[in-house]
Amino acid sequence: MGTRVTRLTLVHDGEEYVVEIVDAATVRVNGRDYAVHRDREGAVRVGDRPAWIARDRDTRWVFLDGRTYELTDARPGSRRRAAGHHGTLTSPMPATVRRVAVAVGDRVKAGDTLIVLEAMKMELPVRAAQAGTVSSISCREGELVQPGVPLIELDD
Amino acid sequence: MSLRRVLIANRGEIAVRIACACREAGIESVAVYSDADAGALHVTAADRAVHIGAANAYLSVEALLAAAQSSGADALHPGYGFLSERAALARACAAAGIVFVGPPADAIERMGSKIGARALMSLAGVPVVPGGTPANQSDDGILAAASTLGFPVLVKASAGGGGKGMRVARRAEEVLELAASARREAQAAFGDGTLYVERLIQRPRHVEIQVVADAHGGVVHLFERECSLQRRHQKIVEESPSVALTPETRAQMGDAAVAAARAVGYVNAGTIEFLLEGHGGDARFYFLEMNTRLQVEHPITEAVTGVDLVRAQLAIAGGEPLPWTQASLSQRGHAIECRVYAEDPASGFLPQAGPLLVYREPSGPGIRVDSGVREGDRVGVEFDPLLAKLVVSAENRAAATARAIQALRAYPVLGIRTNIPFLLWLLEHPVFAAGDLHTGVVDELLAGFVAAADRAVPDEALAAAALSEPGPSPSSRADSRSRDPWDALARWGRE
Repeated sequence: MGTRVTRLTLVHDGEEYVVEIVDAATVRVNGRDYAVHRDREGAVRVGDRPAWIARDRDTRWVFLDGRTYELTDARPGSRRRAAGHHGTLTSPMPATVRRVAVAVGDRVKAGDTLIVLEAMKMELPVRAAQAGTVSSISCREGELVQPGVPLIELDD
Repeated sequence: MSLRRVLIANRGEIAVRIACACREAGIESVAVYSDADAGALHVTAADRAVHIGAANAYLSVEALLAAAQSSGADALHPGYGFLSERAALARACAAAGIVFVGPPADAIERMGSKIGARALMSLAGVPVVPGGTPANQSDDGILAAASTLGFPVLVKASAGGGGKGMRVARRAEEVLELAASARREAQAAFGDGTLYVERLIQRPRHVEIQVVADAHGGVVHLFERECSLQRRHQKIVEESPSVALTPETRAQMGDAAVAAARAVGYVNAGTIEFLLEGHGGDARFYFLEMNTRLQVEHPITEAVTGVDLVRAQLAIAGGEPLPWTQASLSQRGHAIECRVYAEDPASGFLPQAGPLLVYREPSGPGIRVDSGVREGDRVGVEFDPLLAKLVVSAENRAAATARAIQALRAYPVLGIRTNIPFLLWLLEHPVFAAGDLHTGVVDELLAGFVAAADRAVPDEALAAAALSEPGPSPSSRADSRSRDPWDALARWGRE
């Protein structure tokens, strides 16, 4: 029929996934075709599994079977920058830096505590999402940090 | 003297819950709201609402009392958290001629002092963790006290009350080693080297008893809630009944809780928290503290006993006698509560802020959701991150667990990360199925959760993600924030 297949490259946790929109009712993933159906607002069905979706700026949110996934669209040519950005950790809210647990040059494993923030009387450890080397630290113990401001940077 | 109009001095799901109970009881409800809460669900749930100022106004006795007076309320319900356990609020209400829907101020005060409460409970015959300050403070005296209590023991500073100078001794010879350094640390911290020795309760469960008392001397208990699944003293999953109690232990704990309530002259709903050591026929329980208010987890008690605790609170505050006798109360089936928090379990349970792009609560037989939010709301970080409580009930524990798991799988929350994946993982864990719980079990299991986090995205999730583009419908919700009428008002210079 000559319908154009739309190819999307989605990124989740640093991994890229290619998804093809075959037509309005079919999406191909990993070579397999899934029948898709839009239900009421936000609700969809993939095959016979219900899922929920939402879009917030660049993030595609998906809820499937009790798990939530946040995917972004890969931008052509932006892979390197995306990788670098991935290693920057920021505070999600105004918080006080309780402890800086690492120093520039330290090798860290995924899950290692890098910084301990305190907000709302709770200690909030900031952990490494992946292994890497601490390339810069831009906060001090006792400092009040604002959301979105880089605290620490990791290189692969 | 039945209540006419109740000011709800709280926010979130509990304010909504109280407003519902008021409406059913034919009592008018008045919500209070801070600047950021102007459009919040609890404001619409009440009959009327009073603006009280910035976020910290929920913690201001003056602001709340002024709101009660300006709205003509004859009673004030404190909910939980905020000022609910502040004797000053109860006292200010009494002075202003406003009925406090809770205990008398001096009962709050007596239970608020850890040391005083422990002494009072001891006198009332309620078991407390064995321990004391030995009269003979020499190393031999400390050792003798430890040996009498039985090992392991905690050795800590008698002054203070925190963990300063705290040591665990597992054997007699360790006591002699530890006593000297504990004494030095106590001396350094408090200028008083006197030591306190207490039995260490190992792997305790947190089991609490709901009590309700009226103003005419009637006191009953409404059985237990097991709240051992907690993190940093924040409860995550609660259930009733507890698998650890025999009918005999349950009856003993109920009696102890009633005695505790009587000993402080308690009126209204309250909870006696116990540490439980061991289980079955070997279980022993020790008074931990009393929560002199309604608990977050009260719905599981409602589910298994069939009573409405908030309705009872309002009736008792209005001077009515207890609507039940101890003999008329029984536990039936099993209930589990899961607290849904705006927290990211993958990054140390960081509280999350953001828009609720999709928020759909599960429904079905035996499913109740007490919620303080709705789709389109924006969640901030200035308050407790509790979004809602999923409460399921079924005929037995296995059925209730299965029901909770299915309900969580059908509880989409998008736009903000929640602990729903962690709750599911916890309920599906063999340790939960076995009921082999203690207050440290979540911390023990947490490493497994982080390790087990499956990074791969299922094909179906990827296919669903593709649908959010191009498509006008779901993606347009991202703008719901800017379409919020309250935001629009703010742009027009609303105060």
